[in-house]
Amino acid sequence: MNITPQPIPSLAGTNKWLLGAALLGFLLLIYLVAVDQGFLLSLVQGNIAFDQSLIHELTHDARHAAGFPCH
Amino acid sequence: MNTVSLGNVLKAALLAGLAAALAAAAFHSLVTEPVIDQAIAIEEQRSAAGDPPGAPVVSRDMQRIGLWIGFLMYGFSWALLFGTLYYLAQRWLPGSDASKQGLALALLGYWAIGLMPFLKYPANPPGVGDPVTIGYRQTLYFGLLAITLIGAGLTVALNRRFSRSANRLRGRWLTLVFLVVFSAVVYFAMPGNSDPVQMPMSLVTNFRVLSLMGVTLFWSVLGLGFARFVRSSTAGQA
Ligand SMILES: [Zn+2]
Repeated sequence: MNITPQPIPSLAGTNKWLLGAALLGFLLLIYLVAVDQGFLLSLVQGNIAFDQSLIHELTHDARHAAGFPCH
Repeated sequence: MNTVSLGNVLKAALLAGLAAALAAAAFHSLVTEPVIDQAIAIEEQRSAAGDPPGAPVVSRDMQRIGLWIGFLMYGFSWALLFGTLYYLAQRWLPGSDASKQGLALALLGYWAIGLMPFLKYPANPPGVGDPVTIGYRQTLYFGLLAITLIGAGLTVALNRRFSRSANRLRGRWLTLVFLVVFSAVVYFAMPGNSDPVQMPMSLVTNFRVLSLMGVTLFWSVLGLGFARFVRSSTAGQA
């Protein structure tokens, strides 16, 4: 067993698409469950999404229980 | 020491995230939902005096199901970050095998993502936060989260550096001292949540205790689950 100290993690041989997709998935999901006030659905629903804030209302109890800021 | 491939790391992390999400959602749907109901009842009483609220977009029954949906998103989200960071940092993490390294990272995740935000900005039931200050409170919360994630990265780097020196045990202690000092500085330097609590304090405290228990349960299951699943995915490569 030979441990060569590596100053930075080597990304050679890493599937960078998978790495990028994982990080993007993280950001999208945490945004939806913790932050969104209707923006995502406004892309398809139009302005009414900001009044309804469907995703926020649906996952509302999780947002509170997990400790994210809410109302 | 073998390194685990990104695909296997993500698979183990997502499975563990699923288990952690289900555990946390089950816990909250049993014990926290009744407290949320109490808070909403008080909130409605209060607003009955003022303008009448419109019909809710999502019914309470749907929100009780939404709790599970929300925690599944929460579980997969942190699992994806956990898996990515584990993959990038695995050579640096303390521990003699992939499982122990996973537990070390889960412990750091609990500190950075669970404990520190909770201590500085404790969870509140519905009816406490002022809708006007939501943007400010979100900025503070996610600002703190970014800082503690950087702190977790520094901790791994420090531990790695110290553990290569002659006195390993002393290195571990120095890393721990760094973590404590970092926590204290961040805790006292960040501005607090200025919203007044206009709910019975006993109800709020009750809610906070349950929220912390849920967060602790989540990171325990995530860490132990990952340790278990990553072991079976690397069993063939030794
Ligand atoms: Zn709320």
